[in-house]
Amino acid sequence: MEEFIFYSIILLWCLFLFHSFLLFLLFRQFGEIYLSSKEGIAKDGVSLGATLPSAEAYSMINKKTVNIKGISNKSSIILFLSPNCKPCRGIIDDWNKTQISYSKDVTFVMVIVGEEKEVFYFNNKYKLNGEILWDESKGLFTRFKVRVTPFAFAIDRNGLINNKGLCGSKEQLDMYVQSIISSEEEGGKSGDRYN
Amino acid sequence: MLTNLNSIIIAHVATFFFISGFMKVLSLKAFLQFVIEFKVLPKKLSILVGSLIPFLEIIASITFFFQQTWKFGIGLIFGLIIIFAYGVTQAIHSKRKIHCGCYGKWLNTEVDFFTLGKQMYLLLLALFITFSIPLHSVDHSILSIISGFLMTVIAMATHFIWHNYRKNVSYLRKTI
Repeated sequence: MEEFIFYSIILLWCLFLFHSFLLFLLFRQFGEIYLSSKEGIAKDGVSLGATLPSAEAYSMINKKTVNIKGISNKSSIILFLSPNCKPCRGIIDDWNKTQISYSKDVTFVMVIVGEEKEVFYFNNKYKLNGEILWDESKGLFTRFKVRVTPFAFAIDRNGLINNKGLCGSKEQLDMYVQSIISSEEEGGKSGDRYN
Repeated sequence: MLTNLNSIIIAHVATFFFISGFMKVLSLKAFLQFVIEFKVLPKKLSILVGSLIPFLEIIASITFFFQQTWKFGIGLIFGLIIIFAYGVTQAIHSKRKIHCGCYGKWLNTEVDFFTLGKQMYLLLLALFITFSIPLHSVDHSILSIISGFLMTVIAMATHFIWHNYRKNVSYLRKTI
């Protein structure tokens, strides 16, 4: 009987460790699932109220490498997209129309990630308005902590992140534009509310 | 107590090598392909070593189990662990995604740090046995063999679950 108890204890310890390992993996997987959910993705990107990160990309308008910090001294909308993503293609018409409507007050910057051929083809095909940057090395994507496209940032004239999130519809794009316009009207101190 | 513990660990290590060797023999062709993919040795030598490994594992497990031949068995086990650990380290270092073929094609797991950890775990058990057996004679009982076998099942299940977890995570992390 004593021998039986000894072996049972050894096996129970093994099972305990096995179950602990299973629980560990299960909780990690819950975390991954949360990060893939709409709520998780909405929390992506540089924090609200933070300063616009400094990173370089190739300007397809000026045909040279530029730093995103020096692009504009106005408020700006930065939209990250990829040529292969369907929702990104769906937002382009609205992007072009919104850019025409608000170009006086807001600078529209589109950051495209992908291979040279597809990015240039994409740019020529859709005749994109605003400043178009090709993020060849994914430096901007990394610095802005973007995982999913289309993802937008609303930047106020002080270079602070005013709003951010997924941008797959006209309503969302309008929301980002309105958020910086209303913050300008309030005195351009949008960053203060996050401090 | 140490005698019983030794007996369980011997049964665990022996059944582990026996099952993994036996599974490799059942899918020898697929296993040889996995060994070639490691690219640690030239192709012809990989085929030769790959053909020998499953049989060496079975021989090691049987000889390790019996007290008269355990020294030969543990020598083979150390040799096999070193070969596996070297292959796995090289594969991780080269950042290639290859199948480990640890259980032939049956549990088709990929080479990663978990595979290396498994080799370290087996190495630790082998070292424990090496230093404790000369001091204590080992008599195997049915209970110790069953316990050792169940520990092997748990260890293999852990590897299988880790493999599935990795697959799920890579699916979840796919860029949208």
